Amino acid sequence: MAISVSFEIYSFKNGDWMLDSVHDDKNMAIHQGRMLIASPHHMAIRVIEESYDDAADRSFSKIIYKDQKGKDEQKPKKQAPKDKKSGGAPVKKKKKKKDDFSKNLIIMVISVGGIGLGLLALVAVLIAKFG
Amino acid sequence: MQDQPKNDGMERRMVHRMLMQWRSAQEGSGIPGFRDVLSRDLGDIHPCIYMLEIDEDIPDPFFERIGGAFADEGSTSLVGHAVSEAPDNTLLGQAVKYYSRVQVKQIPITLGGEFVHANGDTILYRSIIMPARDSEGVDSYLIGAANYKVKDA
Repeated sequence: MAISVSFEIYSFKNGDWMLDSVHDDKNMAIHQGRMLIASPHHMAIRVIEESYDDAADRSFSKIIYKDQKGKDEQKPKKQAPKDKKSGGAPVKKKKKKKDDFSKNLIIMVISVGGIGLGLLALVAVLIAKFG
Repeated sequence: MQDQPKNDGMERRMVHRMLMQWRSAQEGSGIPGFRDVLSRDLGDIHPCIYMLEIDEDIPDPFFERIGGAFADEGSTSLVGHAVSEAPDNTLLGQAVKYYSRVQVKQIPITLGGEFVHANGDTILYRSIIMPARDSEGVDSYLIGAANYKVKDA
């Protein structure tokens, strides 16, 4: 029932995942992965845990760490601004949406009213001209 | 030959530091030349290093050099000898046993383990083997390093 475990680091280069190195220690593999992604030659990194059951002749793989360039820069844009004082940033955002809706509704009513008045004036002119 | 203690979250293990030296010697992401690796300031790693030379005309790689840290077990006398001559019950014999995987895959591999040394001690070791090129760019060397500690009874 001997199960051997190894940790393979893959790096994304030239449109393909290339095996970079193999380790028997999980922490070291993840640490290496973190260092690689910080270097300019690696666009994305995956650390895959490979378990092999000698008795059953079966292997099992799973990704235990992954990272890619540019991921950290995109994150802050997605996150809501951290404002401890307001404590209710999402509610405020919702209120702003409601305000926008009211403004749009008023503009729409004025526009429809204006068009209606214009049509009435046109009809009045036509009646006056042609009887 | 003991690993430096871990501090401030830094990885201080010798095999890790050796791998970082190998990566620093890389041009781009290719396999570095052995001179570029070994000419670096390797500090306390230096005596823990051995190197295998691969000659197409000889079936087994042979030891091109062996660091002083292997002298206690008598392994330094294996310079010029085939890798298969390293006894299993020595640190060098254990550290080198997976060299063929590195030779085939051409990537660094780290491995640790436990074994009973020829002197009767139970040894815990960590090792690394990395591919390296000669001055003409041919993949004809494997650089290895290993350190150990005696397991407490």
